[in-house]
Amino acid sequence: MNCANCKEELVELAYGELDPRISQELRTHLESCSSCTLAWRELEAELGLFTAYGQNSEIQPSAGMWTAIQSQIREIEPAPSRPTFWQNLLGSLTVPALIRQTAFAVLLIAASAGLTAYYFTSRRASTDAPISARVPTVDFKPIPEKPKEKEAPAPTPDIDESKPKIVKRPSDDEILDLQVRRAAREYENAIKLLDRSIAKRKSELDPDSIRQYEASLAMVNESIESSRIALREHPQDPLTARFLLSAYSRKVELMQEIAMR
Amino acid sequence: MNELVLSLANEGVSKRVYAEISPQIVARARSGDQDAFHAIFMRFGRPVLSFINQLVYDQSLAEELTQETFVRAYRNLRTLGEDSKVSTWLFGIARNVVRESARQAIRQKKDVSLDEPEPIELRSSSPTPDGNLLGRELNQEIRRALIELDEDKRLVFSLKIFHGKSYEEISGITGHSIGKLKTDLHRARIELKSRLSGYLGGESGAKA
Repeated sequence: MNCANCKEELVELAYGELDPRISQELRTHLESCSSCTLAWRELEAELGLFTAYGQNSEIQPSAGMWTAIQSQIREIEPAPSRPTFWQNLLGSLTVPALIRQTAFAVLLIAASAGLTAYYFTSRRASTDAPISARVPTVDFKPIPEKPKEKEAPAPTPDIDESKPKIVKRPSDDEILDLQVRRAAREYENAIKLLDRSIAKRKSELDPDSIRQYEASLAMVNESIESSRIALREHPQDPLTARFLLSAYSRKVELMQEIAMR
Repeated sequence: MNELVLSLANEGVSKRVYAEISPQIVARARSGDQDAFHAIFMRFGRPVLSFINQLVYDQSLAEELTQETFVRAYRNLRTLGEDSKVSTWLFGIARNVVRESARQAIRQKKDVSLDEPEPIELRSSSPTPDGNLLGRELNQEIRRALIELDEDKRLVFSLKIFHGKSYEEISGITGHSIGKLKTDLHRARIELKSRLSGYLGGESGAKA
């Protein structure tokens, strides 16, 4: 280590930028060289002066700075990362009661209506033609003339005038229609509640989420509308009923998702 | 205290180093936890503001640019690598914000530039580590001498001497090579010693 090299490296030594071996060589040289020791003292004075100036010139953020930053970052809330399974599970326990109740009610309705529709779908597959005394076996292929035959010569049950009238049991189609209407009504009620909840929170949501939600909602609404039209044209079709209820269920899920953000 | 002042006892030079914030807080801030981001602001708000002020020498502008720095940092938290130092990342954003502000000022033909700040009096009169006050006159002389440095020299001098950043960190903040940084720092010191020779001569009793 010579004096020229030493003086070049003194700043690096002061700021710990040197390799430990070279640092040690420099320190050893400083112990025995008065010229380099003097240069080291000058450097100490210089850096000490500037360090003091740096400390003196530090300024503390004003009291309102964080408030100002906070108001700006609220508008650009970063998209949260995907919640873990446990976050989802625990999160559902903290969801407002209204949304929990809505979710539970919809689940019950969906289960009930879904099972009913499934029941009728399966039953329809196995008992296609109505029962007729003239037809010894069930024919799955519908024969258009058969209903007429059924109506005309079908024997009517004996009616005892003294006994009270027996209320006619609703047909399978009527039951299905009733279930579907009830389910649709309940879904629509749930949707109204969720809509109110979302409207209150809309200003807190980021514009991208709102845009995505509205786009998805438009597609689901279209699906509901086309299922309704199909059901009006084929009111006895349980499959169409299931499609309609699925679309409603999807709409509720979508609304719950945005309401829970 | 949000910084550690490391005293290199055998060399006698004090170096300011800001302790980094815990990775858990950073992770929480990245997932949108504003309290965690507030903790980051509490840790680095002062050094970032001071750094910006050392570049623009206009306190109200420095505050405005510091706000912009933290807002931009929040927006881009996901760009912060898991192994990256928050302070280096923040200083990098601050530097870009200052540059953009200077360009905008030039475009708008305002009478503000990085090299011609308003003559604001230094407020602080805290004692130096050895217990003596830096006189107001000396403070002003140092300030004037720093202002006369060009942007690159002032930048590396501020980051190295005032904020204790390593060459590697400064390279990450500025995008300059370590070779250029060493050269700029060396030239900055020569210029400052030349302008402050009387004061440095008075402090140590040796030629500056």
